[in-house]
Amino acid sequence: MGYLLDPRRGAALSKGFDQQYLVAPEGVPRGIVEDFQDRMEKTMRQMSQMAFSLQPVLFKDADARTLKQQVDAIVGALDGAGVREGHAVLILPDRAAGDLHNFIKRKVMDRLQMQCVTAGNLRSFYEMVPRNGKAEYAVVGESSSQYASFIRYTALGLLIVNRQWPWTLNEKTAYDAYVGVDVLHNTAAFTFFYEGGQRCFVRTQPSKQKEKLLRSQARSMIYQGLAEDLAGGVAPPRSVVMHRDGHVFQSEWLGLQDAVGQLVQEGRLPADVTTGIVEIHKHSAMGVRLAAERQGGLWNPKAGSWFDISDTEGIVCLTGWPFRLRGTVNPLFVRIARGKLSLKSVLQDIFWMSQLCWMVPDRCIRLPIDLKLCDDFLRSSAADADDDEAEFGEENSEMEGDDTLLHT
Amino acid sequence: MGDMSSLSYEYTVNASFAEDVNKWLVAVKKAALGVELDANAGGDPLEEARRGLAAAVESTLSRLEAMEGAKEETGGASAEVPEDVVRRVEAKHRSDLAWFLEDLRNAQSALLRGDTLGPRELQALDEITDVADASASECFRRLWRR
Repeated sequence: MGYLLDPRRGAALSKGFDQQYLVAPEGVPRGIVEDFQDRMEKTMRQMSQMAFSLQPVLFKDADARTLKQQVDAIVGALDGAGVREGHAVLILPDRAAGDLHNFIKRKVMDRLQMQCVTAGNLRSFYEMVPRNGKAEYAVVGESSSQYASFIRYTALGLLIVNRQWPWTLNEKTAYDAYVGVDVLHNTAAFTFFYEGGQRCFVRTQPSKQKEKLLRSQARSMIYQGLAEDLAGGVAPPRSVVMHRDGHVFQSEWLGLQDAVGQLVQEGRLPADVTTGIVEIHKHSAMGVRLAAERQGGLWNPKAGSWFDISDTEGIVCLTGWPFRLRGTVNPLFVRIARGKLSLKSVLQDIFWMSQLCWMVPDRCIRLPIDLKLCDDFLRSSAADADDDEAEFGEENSEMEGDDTLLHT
Repeated sequence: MGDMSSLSYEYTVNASFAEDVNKWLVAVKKAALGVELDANAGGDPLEEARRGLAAAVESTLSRLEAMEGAKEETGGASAEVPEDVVRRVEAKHRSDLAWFLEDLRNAQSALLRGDTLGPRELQALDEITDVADASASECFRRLWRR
């Protein structure tokens, strides 16, 4: 984090920012919203070393009680302000409906990608103080360092929704291109990763199948993604490897081969391009753990430790010493499911890609970044949200569950 | 009224409003900086500026609040604010109208009480004068093209 905030270093961003918004409920005091906006702008400028500003968009939250009313209030404010595209920080209102975070992200995904914070969380950092005969909001003294940390993580989150990656690997990965794939609740997410993370693109598409991809869909998404990136200046990779979160399906392997084969035919990829699929399992039925023997006892191993179970299966620890962890390290179980790949190179690339823990620079993540980005996207946008409630919800259903109203 | 005389009338109203609010705001700013104002024939120029600006703000507020649907237009506003000025202000602050209205309300009460205007209130008044200038200039260009 220190490097990101250091004016001689900063984030390794490749382009400037488009229009950025701060979407805030009118119910949160203006003093808090403006101070938060000011701190966010300063932190973003410090990290990116680029011009950065947030345009406030206010929405009426006072009478928005149901999910539908809250969604309508936010969408109405965006429409009214003429927001067509860009990125935003959204302050979720007090008493936000449970599904609001997921639903609103999905609802406006085509025009606005958002990083959310909650009004309650934001308020907790402030107190009212008298100043020049007026009451003003100021950050509670003892929570100022906590608030600075909150702002930095929110800024990192905003960088990530902007698809701006704070740092890259010093060296290229052993295999040139990786395509991270995950499917959740009929939404497929693909991360295309090249050149040590200097170029990394997340793409999504609705999927007809709940958890797997059809051959045609895998082919079209991988073909379009690779073709677009090659046209955008990515050097033609000599290897294309798919990282599959969980179990791979034969249709996905056939789709990958179709896409790569078409690009070879078109002369956009070399004829001898290597392809393969690596299954990455967060949990393994084998339950194998690694430990380091020191001082006559067993300790958590170093992050990056690995063990080959066979030529095609192994485990790798993406967490571990020197990070402090509760309990024992839970390694990833990795299996080369298709293609002739080197297990050692595959495991090394997975570990290196886990070092691009862009969302938590002072911690470690348990997935390579391509799958982590898919995972984060799907968790917020494809996770369960009550669509019917958001489209047709009536106030009565909410009022029945509202204790305050029942007791008055 | 023909097209030409209608446009001419619109220009007169816009230009006169722009000139007035500019003159009043300059007077209020000068007074805040301790600069002596030119004495008017038979009146206190600062008091006149404050009253004039407060009336313009009241009228703008009333129209914007009516547009927002929060209140009905009072109709008792004493200053005539050109329709185009109100439209432009509303378009500019469509995303944060609640805050802009708050600044205008604070500006109005500070002007009526004779208090010093804070930076937010001054910025809100500056925006009205900028918009009034832009509106009058645009009207003039249309008139000139005929």
